[in-house]
Amino acid sequence: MNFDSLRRKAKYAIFIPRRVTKTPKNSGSVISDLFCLRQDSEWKTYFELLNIEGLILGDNSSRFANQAEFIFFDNNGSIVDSKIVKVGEFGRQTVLLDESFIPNIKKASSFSVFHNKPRMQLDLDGSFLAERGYAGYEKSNSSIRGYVHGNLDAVAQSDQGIELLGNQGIIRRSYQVQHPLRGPARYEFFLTNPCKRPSRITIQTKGLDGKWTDLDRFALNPRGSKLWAVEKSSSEPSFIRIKSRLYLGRPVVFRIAGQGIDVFHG
Amino acid sequence: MAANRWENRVKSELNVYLIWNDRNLWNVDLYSKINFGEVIRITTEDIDHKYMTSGVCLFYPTTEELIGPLDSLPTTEVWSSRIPEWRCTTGFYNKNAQTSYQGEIFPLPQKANLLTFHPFIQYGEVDNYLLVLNISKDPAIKDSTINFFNSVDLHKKGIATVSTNSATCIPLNSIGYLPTDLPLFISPSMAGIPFGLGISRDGQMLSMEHTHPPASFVLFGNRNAVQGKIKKTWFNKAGVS
Repeated sequence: MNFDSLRRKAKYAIFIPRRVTKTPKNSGSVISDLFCLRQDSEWKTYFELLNIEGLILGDNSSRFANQAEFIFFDNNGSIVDSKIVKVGEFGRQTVLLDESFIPNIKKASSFSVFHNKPRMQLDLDGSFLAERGYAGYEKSNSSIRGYVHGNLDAVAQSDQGIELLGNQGIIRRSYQVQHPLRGPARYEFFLTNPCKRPSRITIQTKGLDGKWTDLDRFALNPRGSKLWAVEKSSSEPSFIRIKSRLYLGRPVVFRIAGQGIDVFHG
Repeated sequence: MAANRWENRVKSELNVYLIWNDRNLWNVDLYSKINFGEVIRITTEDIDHKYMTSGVCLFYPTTEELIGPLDSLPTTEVWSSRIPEWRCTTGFYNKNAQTSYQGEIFPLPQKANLLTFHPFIQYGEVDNYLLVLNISKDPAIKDSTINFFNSVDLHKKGIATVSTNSATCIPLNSIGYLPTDLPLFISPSMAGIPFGLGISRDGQMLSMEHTHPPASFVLFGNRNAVQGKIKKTWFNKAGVS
């Protein structure tokens, strides 16, 4: 083993002594991401609801129709509302998350989708049924939607309630967004806290001198979220990184330029 | 660049090679060198058309010197970032819009298959495509098939040819999936990374995301075992072998 390998192992032990996400405590749990919700005069959010149980069993007909619960959270992580919907009546069910879905949706900024505990005994080899599906985002002047899949196995639900699965460490670390920002465009970064403790976040940018400087600081409550925006006028590339104790401070990125939106994982 | 600060830095100058498939060999050209902290953007407009013969050209950064042609892809990884995985933002653009996705790729096994569901075909003034990307260490380009089903009744709606070490782009609008259908795609003898690509007919927007492998329906435990069972069930029901 060479010096670099030893150094890496030592740093790993200090920075990430536990798994990025925790295994749910209750074996009957189901898991969901914390999905970004954009719902205002400019934006619409759709969710592609699939019958995960049926897809695991190899039957996507209505024979295995079941239910799933949408739970909506506000910026502070408090539950705004929830709704139980049928799953599996169609092969694919595109759900528009607007005021006709839940009246007070404008208070919400994220959501999770928990599928009902499977009615059949599924042999999942110690795994947990998970919703990591696709959210589609449409801006008022965009001709099609931008889709992005679940970013983080963040939340579990069981008879015992909701459990946050994210881990965070003692030492702060930086998550480097790999995409170089290029303008002219508006960039919006959606960040969540999947941990059971609040997390302080610092957004930094790299200057031409190669040094990182702070752009903003804020705190995220457990299940809390924030959409942080920056205008990028120059076509010269620049970088953003997210400093926090989160093991995985990976944002969903929205790049808005002209009539087009580009949504992807940072 | 490592995604997390705890990873060791690679501060030495790197060679960025273009690796492309031509006549069943991996050819290699040095594109440029890159220093620590530098950014380079490579587009298909910047490189000769010969590099895109099979639809795929790899950008491989390394401290080593590569001399082609190669009979197998190099295996040395410059970055050892695994937690979180090193990510490479890749994308398509036109004069009005761009779409980005996670573009790093590891060679896929040669004896493998593909099963995926596509839940985000779009309707209206949009052209939808399935993009199947395959890279394997062996440079041979071999054809396989991909079958298109409706996952509800397993009605077979079409079939297309896909190839190893290639990017295959298949138009989906003509297959005739309805908004309430969940398309099921099965390739019995080739693995691949499937992407759903949407292009608005006015050219003002592009949309792209990969579809999930069946293992994504579960987390923790033995996900590979679950994926194996899901695949076996659907392969049997669809009559694909």
